[in-house]
Amino acid sequence: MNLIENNTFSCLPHGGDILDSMGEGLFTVNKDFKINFFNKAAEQITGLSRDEVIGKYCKNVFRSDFCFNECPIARVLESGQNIYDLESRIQCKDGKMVNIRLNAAILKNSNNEPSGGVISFRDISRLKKVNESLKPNTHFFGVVGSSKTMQEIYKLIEDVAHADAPVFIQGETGTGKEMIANAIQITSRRKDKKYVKVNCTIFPSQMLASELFGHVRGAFTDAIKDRIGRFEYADQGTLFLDEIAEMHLHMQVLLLRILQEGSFERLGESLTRKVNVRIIAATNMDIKNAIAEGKFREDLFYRLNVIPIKVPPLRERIEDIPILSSHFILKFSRLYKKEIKMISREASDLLINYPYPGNVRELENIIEYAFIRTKENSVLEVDMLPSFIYEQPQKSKEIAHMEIDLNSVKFIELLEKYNWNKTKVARVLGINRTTIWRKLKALGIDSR
Amino acid sequence: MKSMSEMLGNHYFMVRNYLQAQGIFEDVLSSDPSNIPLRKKLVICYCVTNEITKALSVFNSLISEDPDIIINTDSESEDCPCQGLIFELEGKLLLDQDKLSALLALGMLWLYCNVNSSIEYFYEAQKLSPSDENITYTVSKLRNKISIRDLENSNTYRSQ
Repeated sequence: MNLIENNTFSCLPHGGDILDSMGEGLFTVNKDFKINFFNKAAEQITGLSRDEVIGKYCKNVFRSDFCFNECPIARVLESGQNIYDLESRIQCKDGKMVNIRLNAAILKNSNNEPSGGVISFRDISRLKKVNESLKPNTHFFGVVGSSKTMQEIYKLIEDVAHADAPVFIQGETGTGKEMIANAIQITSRRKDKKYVKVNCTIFPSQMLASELFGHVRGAFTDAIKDRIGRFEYADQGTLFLDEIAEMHLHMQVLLLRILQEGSFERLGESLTRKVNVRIIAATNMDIKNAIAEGKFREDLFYRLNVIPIKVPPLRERIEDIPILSSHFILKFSRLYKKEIKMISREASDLLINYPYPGNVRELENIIEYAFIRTKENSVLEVDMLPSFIYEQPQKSKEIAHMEIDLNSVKFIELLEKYNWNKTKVARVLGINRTTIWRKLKALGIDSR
Repeated sequence: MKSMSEMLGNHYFMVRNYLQAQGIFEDVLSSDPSNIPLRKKLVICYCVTNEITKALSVFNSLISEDPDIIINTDSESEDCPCQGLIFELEGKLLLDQDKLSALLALGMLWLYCNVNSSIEYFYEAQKLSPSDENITYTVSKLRNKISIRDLENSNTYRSQ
């Protein structure tokens, strides 16, 4: 992010208003880690008012263990990579600890130097309760989708439920790989044992080794006491390694050893330890390419790929879009305690035809955005959707090769073909919907 | 590779990882030697990591500009750890074999909190090493500061 130092959001028109309308809590710190912005949602989640926190050190406000050991902003500074969906806990005004999921990034000044940090977060304790309440409405242990490809995945998971073999899940970002991993774990023999998740992109290389295998005091500069790693912690249980293809090669060697022999050493220690952990790995990378480029070890791939699962992108299972949309409407109605009647037909059509480069996660974000904007007990209309959904309509293959004269009979025939759905016709013709509306008005045709 | 940014150094200082903070502050100050907040923190880092000669050098460079740079430290808004460090150091002082280093560290750290206590420790250090020009400079600078302040206070009193 490149924003003007000490003038973070005032350079944006209505910047503060925009951020105050967000459902997610958001705060920024300056380079001294003092809070200099705190939006309304952050006030609601923490119970702290803006006045109480502005100018204070964030560590003194949130009092999280993460502040000292795993500050997300410090991690971004160290690794150079933004953090997404990190789970943490913060203290609220009443002293209660709240589980949150956060994203973190660095703010930079005009010289491209770090000048502050920004964290967006949401209270997932309520979200967790809402997700639990939604599980009976899902198709397979939290996963939503009734398309043929998804049914095949559910069948595969059921078939291997009794096995402890490693699973390798591949799929584009936002396709629900973690949901699939959760479903695998909960149907497995280890469902009552520990289930630990690690995102391999969050940690710099040495920290990932410490995170997974633990360390002893003095192993490196920051190692001030012994620490158990995730493998030991998950012993007899399951470990989910997300974004595994981002792991450095020397880490892959260590992982291969633990898969082959079940043994490892904590960093800085010579004592060999044994664990029994079931691995579920996931990546959004093209793993064959990564192997060909030498970024991922082939022997590790074959060790992990005992049970391969490929999660299809959303555009390849568009029949699941209406079900997913309904699921998210229900979720947000419980989360925001607001009911909306339905999604309009035009909006549904747009949702079905959008390509979703961000897959299910993007659909969820779109539904949430539209849900927040829709008034209670109203219909979710096209206008409530983000503008990028309808601003650039694509011509259909059907008539991509010809231009239609808006004065022609063919234009009217096209409207009749699509039941006078102006949005759809606009997309097919590659023009703006309002152009059609104006033309019909000019022709004296009442299209209602 | 870690970004050698002031902000990362501030984080390490904030979580009391003085060794890491020190390395980053040294790096940043090599290209921005006038950065006062960083120099103030670097003095503290050097005191903790027992690099007293370096600490005194930076300390003296600050008080030569103006002793108030350190005297007027707001411990809360600047997240100054000196009180806690002083408590630990004073406890160790009796046992410390290197008394001179301990006295100098305490003298420097006390200036962030109380100028009178600071100069008491520098006097003690001066007794142990009377020919050390750096200590002599420090004492003279702080004594001068106290004298000016006492004079100002007495003038204020008289005018009332």
